[in-house]
Amino acid sequence: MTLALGAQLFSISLLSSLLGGVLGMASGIFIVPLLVGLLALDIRTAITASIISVVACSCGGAGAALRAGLVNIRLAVVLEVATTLGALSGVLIFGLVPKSGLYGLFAAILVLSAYQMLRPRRELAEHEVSVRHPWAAFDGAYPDGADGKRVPYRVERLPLGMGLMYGAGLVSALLGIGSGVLKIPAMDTALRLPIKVSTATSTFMIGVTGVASAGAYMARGLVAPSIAGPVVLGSVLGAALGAHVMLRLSGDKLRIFFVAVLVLLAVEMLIKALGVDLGALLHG
Amino acid sequence: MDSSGPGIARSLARLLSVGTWVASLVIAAGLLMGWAGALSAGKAVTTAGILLVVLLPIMRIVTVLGHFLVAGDRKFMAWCVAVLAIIAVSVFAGMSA
Repeated sequence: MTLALGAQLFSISLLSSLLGGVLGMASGIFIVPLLVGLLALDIRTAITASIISVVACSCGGAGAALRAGLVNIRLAVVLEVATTLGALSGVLIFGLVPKSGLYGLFAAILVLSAYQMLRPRRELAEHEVSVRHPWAAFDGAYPDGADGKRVPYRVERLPLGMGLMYGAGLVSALLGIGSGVLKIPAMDTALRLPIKVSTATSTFMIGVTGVASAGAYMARGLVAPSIAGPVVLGSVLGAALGAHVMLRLSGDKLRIFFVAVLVLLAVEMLIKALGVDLGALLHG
Repeated sequence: MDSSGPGIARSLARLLSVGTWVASLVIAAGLLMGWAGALSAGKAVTTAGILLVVLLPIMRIVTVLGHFLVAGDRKFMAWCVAVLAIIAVSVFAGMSA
């Protein structure tokens, strides 16, 4: 591999991961469309490199979340059974799904992410809690606010949450992304976790979810070290920087800008899904 | 209450943070070797770094499993073993495909 290609892979991943860090999203959702669009990489090569970087960024980011006392480890282990089962299903069909199907699914996930970004997450208002509480073993408490007082929370509707997590694992394996877009509704809405706990626990889980597919793709020889190496390095560095930038940047303009980026990438993936050769159209 | 406690969170945080940087350094070393001309050695070192990345979450589950073992929490030990088993099946499925 040339130094130039390595430098391009590194900078695209660094940028994607910075974007992801600023938005609190995993970087895979930007890395794969950019690698395919800018460097004309094969989509499966981009996906298998991306899933390794997703695992690395989860491990890098989970440290801070753990130290802050925000991760619900017991809940994570149980949900990981669902996400890794989903990832296993994804591994089994990865070779069978045609490229156009991967592009199409990617476009759908990008649109869903754009939609989610337009609707900011809110803590659920006080809701009716049922008297029956079968998931008490998973309840926790997390430090909130400046005084660091621990606020208790309950875990609800675990089976619904696990069903959604299975889907998140499946999509993660197929597209090489962390699937935050599917985990957020599962954790915020189904399990009714506080946003901080949900984000931290999700980051913690992505590594294990990703390993179920990353390990399989490595064993199958689908991971090219010369591609995955610079992608991992760029995204780990980008995520570390992005976590700092996130504190300073916010606002609606930024949100609209990223919605536009996501929609543009969705259009790119949709065009590829339909097999339209843009270059031929422009020059023909 | 999550009885996992702050002790396990701290040791997991250390494992994951240190592990990520070690793996990144190994990958960087491998890429530099490759660009300096040592192609096959560079590729081997980069692959080792990527393998380290993949091993980190597995070491994390094993650490959590050990924690539940010490705490005598059999139910959660079983969940950890299930996750490890699913990952093993997935890697095996990858090898045989």
